[in-house]
Amino acid sequence: MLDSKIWRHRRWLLASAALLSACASTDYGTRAAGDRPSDLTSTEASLWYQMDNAEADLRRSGSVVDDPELAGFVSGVLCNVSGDHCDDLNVYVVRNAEFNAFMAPNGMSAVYTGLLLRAEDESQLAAVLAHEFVHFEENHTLEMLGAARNARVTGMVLGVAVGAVGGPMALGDLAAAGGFLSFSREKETEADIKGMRYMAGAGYNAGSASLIWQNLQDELEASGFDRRRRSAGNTGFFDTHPGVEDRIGELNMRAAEFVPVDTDPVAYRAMIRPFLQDWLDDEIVRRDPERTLHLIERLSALETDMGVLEYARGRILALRDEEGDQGLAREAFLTSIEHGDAPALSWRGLAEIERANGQNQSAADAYEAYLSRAPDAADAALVERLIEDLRG
Amino acid sequence: MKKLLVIGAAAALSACVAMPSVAPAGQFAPDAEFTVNLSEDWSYWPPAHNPAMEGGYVTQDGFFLNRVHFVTLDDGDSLIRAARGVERPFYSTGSSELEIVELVTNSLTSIGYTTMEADSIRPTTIDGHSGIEFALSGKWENGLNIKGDAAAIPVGDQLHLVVFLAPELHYYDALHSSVGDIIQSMDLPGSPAVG
Repeated sequence: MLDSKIWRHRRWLLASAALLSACASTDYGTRAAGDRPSDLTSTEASLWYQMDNAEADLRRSGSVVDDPELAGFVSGVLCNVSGDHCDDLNVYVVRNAEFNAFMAPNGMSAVYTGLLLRAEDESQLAAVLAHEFVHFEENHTLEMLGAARNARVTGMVLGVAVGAVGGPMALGDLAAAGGFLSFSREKETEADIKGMRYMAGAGYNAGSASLIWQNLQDELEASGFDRRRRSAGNTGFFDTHPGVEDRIGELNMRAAEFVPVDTDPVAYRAMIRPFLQDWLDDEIVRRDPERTLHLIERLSALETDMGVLEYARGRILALRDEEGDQGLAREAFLTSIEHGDAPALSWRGLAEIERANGQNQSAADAYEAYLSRAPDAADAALVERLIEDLRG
Repeated sequence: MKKLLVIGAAAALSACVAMPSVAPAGQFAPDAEFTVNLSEDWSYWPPAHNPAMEGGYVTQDGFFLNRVHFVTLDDGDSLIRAARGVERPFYSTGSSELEIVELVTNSLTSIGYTTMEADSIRPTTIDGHSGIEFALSGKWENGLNIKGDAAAIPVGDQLHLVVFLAPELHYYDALHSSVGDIIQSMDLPGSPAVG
């Protein structure tokens, strides 16, 4: 244990000396479980301190999903792929529709709800977390900062890096900071290779690693925004990740080395089911209807949660409001309310369309059905007035 | 000479950019298509000083402690300013009451508020025009609990909005009633003749 402390101390001293030397190597090697910088004057210690502050800000921000069961599930997956490092990692499920996850050098691990929504099973989630864990284990962030220091831009990079994990606005803009936080293609490939080994070693299906990237690529290609469609040629994750086509091919090739393992998408959906509607609402707010419709189509393949999914489809179509959309939205709401899990909002959505079409009686009926299911709704007073007006 | 140059520069600047000013008690015309009546003096910050939202705002204690936004949206306008990576919701003439509520909550979410929700959504009539009022609650990015009130009155192709935001602790309660009076005092264009 003492030897280990001395070694860690020495390693951090060496590391900081390397950072301070303009021409030094930026290879920090592999992190041992429990590593923390012991030289408080080092650049790493400064970064660590700022990350600790950023973590405190994140906890206060209101962006963290306060659900012990969900957090425990995600932590469990991360622990499965990170072995002895499990205790070094603090998982935060961040309410953010972006497909993203990252691990800061101090162990702060943010997993966005946009990733959890898009993973189809535990193995796909494990693939992304194992990949990110390798960046953490191999000190890729510190190496990036060291390289930036050599290029005399550390201050700028450090500021952006810390800012990027410092608060919800910055968290939401992490993709923008990606230009500074990007790892080299070699580091990404290293993370892919080792990450797959870790996930397979933990009993996950190695073949799932390529699937989650393939799904993301397909979704980005469906986007109504040129910028996002263009990013499909890469990953939309970080710009220097290997191109998706190359990456999927390499991941598939490497997965062939491992024995396939059955996945359980039904169990995974059950875990995220309580949050499905909220997370889909977050997608709707982003106003990329084509992309979200594509996502809903994929989520519907499991043929569960159709009340919630058809409600979301109806909302998107009603908001997009292109020719024919209101009719399609009406059909989606009607389909939703045929299912037991239909949210009360499906009746409200239907009522809005009927009202706009001058179908006053059926609009009033739908509003009443909505209120009967959500008597304490925030808009109950307004809806009661609307029913009165529609009934004449 | 130097003094003249400074005065000249200040005059040139003031000609280009509206400066914060006192909004004295009484009828007040913010940079919107309606006026309101203020029962006390406020500080008015015109649209050029509004970092994330359209329109100007009045405040008693500063931007983060309390502010009341005034804005008129035309068809296709957004409540928030364009920013990189932010998808802006836009107002569309003919939007339903519930879509207008979502326009406000989604706009606030887009500029950094989290868990922003509307409550107590109710019909209202202001200056002879039907619209809605509702309460707001959420968090600012630093975790501070925020409350607020909003009124949205569509008239013709336009939507007239008043949005009040303040920390839940002390500041919201301190001005909630005054802001309610401001909302009820909205003098809207095209109002039915009185008397």
